[in-house]
Amino acid sequence: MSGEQPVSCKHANDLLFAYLEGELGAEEARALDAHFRRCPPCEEFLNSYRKTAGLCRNALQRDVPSEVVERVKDFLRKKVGSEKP
Amino acid sequence: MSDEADQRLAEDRALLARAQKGELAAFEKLVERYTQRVYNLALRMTSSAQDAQEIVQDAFLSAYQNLGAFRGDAAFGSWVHRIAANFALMRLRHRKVVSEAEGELKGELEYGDDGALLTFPLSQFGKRADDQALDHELRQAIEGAVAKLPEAYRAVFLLKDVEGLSYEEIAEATRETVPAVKSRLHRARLTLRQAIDEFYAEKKP
Repeated sequence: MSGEQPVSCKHANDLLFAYLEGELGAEEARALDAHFRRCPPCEEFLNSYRKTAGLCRNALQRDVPSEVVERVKDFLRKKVGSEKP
Repeated sequence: MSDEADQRLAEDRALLARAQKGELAAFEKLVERYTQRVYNLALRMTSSAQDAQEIVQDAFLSAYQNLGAFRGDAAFGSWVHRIAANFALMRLRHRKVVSEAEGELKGELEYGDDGALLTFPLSQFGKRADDQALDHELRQAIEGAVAKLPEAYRAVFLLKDVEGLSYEEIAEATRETVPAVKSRLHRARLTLRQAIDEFYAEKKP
């Protein structure tokens, strides 16, 4: 907990999104910084929340079969032919 | 922005300028550049390879037919992603499977009367190094968790955290307000964070 304005776990985590987006005022952000430094479960929660998007992004990468691109191009040629956009 | 990204944008603009003059071959280069990502987005949103293929085709056709209106104030990639997201959402609405239910959302924390945390992270995966983290099983666990998200939440998560669109672009594509988009993104992340946490906790010897 921070010295002057201690915040609870609930308060800190309710503001987690705004905190990471940089939407909080300086004083509130400092109070949350202090809470995360002193509360290991909340710090771990913050770290794992931060890491989630990157892990998911990597997990969802897939090579697309080349036929997909060819089908799109064939479709476009049939639909638009020599028509100008 | 990196030099590579700058160069890519410059190349996109040059291709766009040629495509706007009616050069289909230049537009096809853009198709080659962006089909992979747009197809993956559509596939994740609809869970159907056939739908994904048709969405990509419709999205690029719509982009081509509206090239004249494209002002170039956004990146071509973002633009075509937004168009594809729109088509995917329309298809989901048509299927009548868009669910506002939050039954598949998890990850909310519990607190005591004093506001202290009662649910602790299980596995401490936040401390693990990134390069150790992604194996085949985790990939499957994440794919499963993403597929289980309610469609509206999944769409926002994919558009923001996977494709990197802005909140404003996502709000426009999903016809939601920016605060609603942010709220859905947060709930989706909480759910996925918990799924990954549970995966690591179960895997631990």
